[in-house]
This record gives sequence, structure tokens and C-alpha cells, in this order.
Amino acid sequence: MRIAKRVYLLLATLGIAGCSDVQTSGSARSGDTGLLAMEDLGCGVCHVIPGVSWPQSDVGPSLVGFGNRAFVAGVLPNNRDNVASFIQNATAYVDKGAMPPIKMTGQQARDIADYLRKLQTEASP
Amino acid sequence: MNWPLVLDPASADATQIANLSWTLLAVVGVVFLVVCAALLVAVFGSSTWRSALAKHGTILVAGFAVPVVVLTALLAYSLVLTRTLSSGADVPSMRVQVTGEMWWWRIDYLSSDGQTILREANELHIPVGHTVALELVSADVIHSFWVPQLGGKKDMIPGRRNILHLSADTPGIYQGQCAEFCGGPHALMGLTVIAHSPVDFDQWLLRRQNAPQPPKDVLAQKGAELFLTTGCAACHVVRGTAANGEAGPDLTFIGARHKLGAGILPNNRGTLAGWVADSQAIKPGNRMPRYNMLTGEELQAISAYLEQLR
Repeated sequence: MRIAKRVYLLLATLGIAGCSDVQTSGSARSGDTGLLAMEDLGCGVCHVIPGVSWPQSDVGPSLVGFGNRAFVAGVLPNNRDNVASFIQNATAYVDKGAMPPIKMTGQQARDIADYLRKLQTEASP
Repeated sequence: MNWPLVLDPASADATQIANLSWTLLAVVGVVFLVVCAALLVAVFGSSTWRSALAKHGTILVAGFAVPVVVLTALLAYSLVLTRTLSSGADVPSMRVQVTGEMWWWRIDYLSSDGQTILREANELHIPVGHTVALELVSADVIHSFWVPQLGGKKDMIPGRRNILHLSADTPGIYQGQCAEFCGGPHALMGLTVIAHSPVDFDQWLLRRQNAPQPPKDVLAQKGAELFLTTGCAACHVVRGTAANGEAGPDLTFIGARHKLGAGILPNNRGTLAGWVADSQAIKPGNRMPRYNMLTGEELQAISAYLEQLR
């Protein structure tokens, strides 16, 4: 049991020496391409999007559970092509809406559509 | 947002600072290993080893003499290094006044006699291979100017004018950050430095001294009108128009900036619209109020106008 005491002593000492906050780097660039595209474009400036940690604004609708939604913005059936088309040029479908056309590549739009359509509503407790 | 790269130097000064950091890390690493070894001996070592460690002489040498020598050597090394950093051997070829504001940067390119020849915000353009003398001042509280890839860190202190020499070896975009806590949105007070080739820089400076063309498309024209009538112009300047408010950042060429909101957001019509509608959700506590009284169409028009200011 003397050894156990010594191990405790050692761990306690190292524990004090090792106190710090673990923080993930903001510039880590790996993960879902759709999610990365949304970070590059700043979609979180208007939408709460699971996976985007900052910003998280409520200017536009939250995209939590987007995959369960029947319609995109209440006007288009929720499928890949419609989502990709809507996010590039929302005013073509909702002409008085606040969401402006946003420049992105077709690939980015499809990747974002795939990511959003995977978002499921969390089960209520 | 992208945090600045800290140990990836792109100028002579930043290289020296990175070398100092690595040297300190190496020495500290060795010291850490030696201390760990001594700790293991103290806990698990045989009684002979432990009594050797507890000897008066050991403590005097390892606990006193060695730290004095190591720390003195490191102090001397860092003092010699920082002396060459601040000696200002390079004659600056350009003056720029950077004013720390809560929570953004006002940037004035100065002529040799100190007159402002161009006012911008949140984005500093410099020519590669030239030393730029930054005159760091503050409009309110203490801020600190820090672009780790290009040089040292220097405070902006109310009532003082601190000089920092900055240069870049290669063209590129470098991220900076306020490095002194200055209030709520301090962590979101970023800065972009863009280093051009000298020829490109001269062209850029000439281009920016003119006002942008009036908007051509109808939506942007409506946005220009709304910019003046909804209150934007009370805090922001757009040269060539009646917008002349000095409280917030100059927006004359906002559409050409790499980032929005003081170096923190990508710049496109979506982020422009979202920032105008509710910047408080993005950068809580900043001095721009929500503009949630605008209709969707009005917000569209304003974002279209801002985007084409380039």
C-alpha cells in the first residue's frame, strides 16, 4: 500500500502542474464539406445550425431538424436540388424575404444541402 | 473566426520572436523533464538516492544556483533580442495611424507631414519589403495591436502615441487581434493585414483615394437611399455621398474588405444583411444597434448597396 500512496502523491503533484483549460483551435479544417462551406460563407450570421458553434444568430429561422421539414421556406419541396438552388438565390422564391442571393459554387450548395437534409429534430425528453 | 497564426512568422521581427519562443520552450521542456525525474526519484527512489537528493549541497546547486544561471541567461538573451526589435534600424517608408476603438480599428494612412490621405477601417494594407511605422493611439480604453506573423505586440494607450515598425516578407493576408482586454467584445476585435507587392500597393492606394462609382442596379440604388434615410449615415462615412458619420467604421469600400465586423466574419451579401439586422447576436455589446425595424426587402437593398461599394 505504500506504493499506492506514492502513486497518489505523484498524480496529485502532476495534476496541479497540469491545470489548464482545454480549448479547440478555431482554425481546424477537417470535417463535413457542407459544414465547412457554411462556416466559410458565414451562414450562422442569420441561422442557428447544429455543428456551427459561432455565430449563432436568430435573424432567420433555426435549421435544427431541417431534414424533417416538408418545405424549404414554406414554398419548395425539401429535396437536394431545391435546397441547393434556394440557398444560392432565395429571392427567386421569396421575393420580399430578407435572405439575399449568396455567391457560392454549385458544389458548395450541394454539400450544404446534403448536410442540412441530414439534420434531424432531437427527440423531446 | 480565424485566430491569428502565432508561430508562423512572415517577417524578420516575427522570426526573431518565434525563435525566442521556441528557445524558451526547449529550455523549459528540459527543465520540466529534469524536475519530473527528480520527483520520481523523490517518490520511488531507493533511500540512498533520496538522501542524495535531500543533501544540503544538492538543494543549493539544483534548487538555487542552476535556476539563477538558467534564468539569467534567458533574460540576457531575450533583452538582447528585444533591443534589436525596438531599435528601429530600418527607416520607415510610410506612416499609418491606427486608432483602437471599442471594438474596431480606425486606420489613417498619413502623408510625410502627418496629414490623413486615406481613412479606412479594420483592414491594413502595406507594401511588401517596406518598413511601415504604425502610430498606435486609442480613442477610449487600452487596446493592443498584435499581428503575430508580422511583428511584436504593442499597447494602444489613451493619451500616448506608441510607434511599432511592421513589415512583411511575402504578399499575403495576415490575421491580427486585439491583445489587451478592452471590454465585452474584445475577443471579437480582429484585424486583417494585406501585404501587396509595392506596385500593387501604389495602385491600391491611388484607387482608394477616389470615391466608388454610384450604384448601377435599381436594388442597390434603393439601398443607397435607405442608407441615408434609415440612420446608417449618422455613424458611417461613404465618401462621395452625404453619409458622413464618424462614430463607426468608414464604409466607403466595405464591399472590398476580406472580413466584416472587425476581422471576424466572411464578407458576402448574406453576412452583410445579417450583421445589419442583428449585429448584437454576433458581437454582443458592440455599439451598432439592431436594425430589425427594416423590412426584408429593405435589408436586401442595403446589403446589395454595401456589397457593390468596392
